[in-house]
Amino acid sequence: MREVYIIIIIALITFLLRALPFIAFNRKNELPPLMLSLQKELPMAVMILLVIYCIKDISFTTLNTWLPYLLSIALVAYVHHKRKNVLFSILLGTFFYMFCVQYLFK
Amino acid sequence: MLKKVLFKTLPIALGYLPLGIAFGVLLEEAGYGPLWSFMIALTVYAGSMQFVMVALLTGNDSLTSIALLTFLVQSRHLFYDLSLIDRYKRFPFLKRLYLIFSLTDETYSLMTSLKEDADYDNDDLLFAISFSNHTYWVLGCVIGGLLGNIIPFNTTGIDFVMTALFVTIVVDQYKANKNHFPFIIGLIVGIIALIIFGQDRFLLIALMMTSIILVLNSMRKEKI
Repeated sequence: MREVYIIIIIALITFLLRALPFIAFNRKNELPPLMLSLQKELPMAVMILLVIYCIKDISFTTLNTWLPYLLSIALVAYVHHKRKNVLFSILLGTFFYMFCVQYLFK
Repeated sequence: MLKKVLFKTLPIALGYLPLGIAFGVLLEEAGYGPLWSFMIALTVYAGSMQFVMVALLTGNDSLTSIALLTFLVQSRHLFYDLSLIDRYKRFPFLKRLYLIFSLTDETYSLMTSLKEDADYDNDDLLFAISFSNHTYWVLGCVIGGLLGNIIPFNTTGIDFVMTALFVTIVVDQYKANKNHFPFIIGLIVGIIALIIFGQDRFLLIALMMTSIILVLNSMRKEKI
């Protein structure tokens, strides 16, 4: 049941946030300048925080846990920088990580 | 018109289908099958948030913190260009509701790219675009949920998909913006918050602190 509540909450809030500009802002194309810079900056900050969120459970005391993780992140970042293909970067990085975790670092 | 819609939404389909499948598989691995994928893809329809949701479903965060987290993560929707407001006003209420509901990052990009086209005035076309994108996503998620059951190999480590996705987004954003301040702030605040508050509580605090710092910094820049 808890799961259902979670889904409802996330669905509702997501929809409300998408709808709010349409309800609240009736000016044509103008965002106040404060909002304009937030528009660009907030998503960047949120995304890097989400990356840290992904790392949060990694134990940094044992090499076996953090090394493959950070290596895989570096691989994804590098490959994506070079080839600019989201799916390729994700798949390569994920398979590399899975390989490390299952075979290399035990 | 069907061909036109398919043609215009093809890039999005190529992204949504595999990513949806990845989500479906991940969700299945977490213990929630294709029916869950279907319902979530149908009602939430959010890429990165859905991936975060997989962790939330199996965790034990309070509903309030989940609500706050969703608000902060999805807050970027608040700042979308307002140019679609007028365009969407021309639709009947229910269709407008759906169009707004289905306004994902990618759909939004596609819509705004059509502004100069003659097609922009075609109600049916715009609606069909939104609907198609939503369909690709639902399809991907469901297929992923079904596939998750029959994957023969050891899937340990597959949840890295989420991290990889976010990293690619960070790389794209970093390269597209000369202003790296939010990136640095997020990194510093995030790590410090993680160390001080621990894994269970840092994200909300970090999100709020970062937002406050960005707002204050913007206000500071405005005054100059």
